[in-house]
Amino acid sequence: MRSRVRTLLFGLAGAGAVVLLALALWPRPAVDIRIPRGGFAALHQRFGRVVAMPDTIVVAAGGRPRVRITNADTTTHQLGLFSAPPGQTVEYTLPTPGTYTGLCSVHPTSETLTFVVR
Amino acid sequence: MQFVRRLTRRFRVASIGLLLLPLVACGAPTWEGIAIDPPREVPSFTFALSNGDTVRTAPEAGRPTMVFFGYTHCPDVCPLTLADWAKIKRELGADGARVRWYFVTVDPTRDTPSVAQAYAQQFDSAFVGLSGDSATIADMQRAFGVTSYLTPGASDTDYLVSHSSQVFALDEGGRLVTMYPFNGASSAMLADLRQLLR
Repeated sequence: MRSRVRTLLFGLAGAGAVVLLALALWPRPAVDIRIPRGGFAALHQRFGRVVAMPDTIVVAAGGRPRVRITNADTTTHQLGLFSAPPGQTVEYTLPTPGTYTGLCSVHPTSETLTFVVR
Repeated sequence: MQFVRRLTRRFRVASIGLLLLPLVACGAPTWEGIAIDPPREVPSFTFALSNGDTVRTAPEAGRPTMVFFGYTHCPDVCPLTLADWAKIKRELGADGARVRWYFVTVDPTRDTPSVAQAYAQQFDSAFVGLSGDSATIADMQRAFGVTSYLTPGASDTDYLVSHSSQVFALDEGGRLVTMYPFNGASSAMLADLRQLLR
């Protein structure tokens, strides 16, 4: 009986470890932009920190950085080169270091949003 | 205790599944351009050509599509992009004819269908210049996530149009899979087109 309980506990601990490992190693986007319904796009950073969209976003070039845009709004949003249709999450993978600039609906003053991968 | 054994087995299967998931994700094609994930279905649009024919941008088996939005009075981005396309098409050889190359105007007031078509064909006779009513072009721009606006000039017909400058690549199923920022992306376009043509 005791050995079966031990097997169960080991099984549970092993599965938990695998889940934690998978969560830790699962690739996260370098940039996480979320657009709430009827709201403004904001940059979501680690540990739940949310900041307003800057004109330039600098991304560390490691592998192929990804930009994730989650658009919960009812209209398409244009964020520099990248767009997100309403109600969709889209990821863009930036292939090489460089500057990626495009017209932006979030920045009516500068009219552009730039991603710098370096 | 049967239950305990079953539970342990399920945990084992789930663990293996979790470990294999990233490997499955790695099987997706790798693009030299900016990959779009998930690939975006874009609707088809119909344009009339000056000779009375119509062009429908619906997908065609075995034929990837390149799309660029610009205008014929553009002083820089558009001619350079179409010149890049011409070079890429030459490098693709016979396969270049399988690619559909669409230049879509963002300035339908000045770029009539014949003007847009003549402009595109200056670079290569296989390129198709598309123009139409403002509503259709606006719908297509929205589908691709392309922005444009006029910068007033000296007169009603002398103005510039600021516009998104990326080139879009669609697979044979009409799905937007990758795109390229302006300038310096011709080698990436060539490599990706070779992959799309396989």
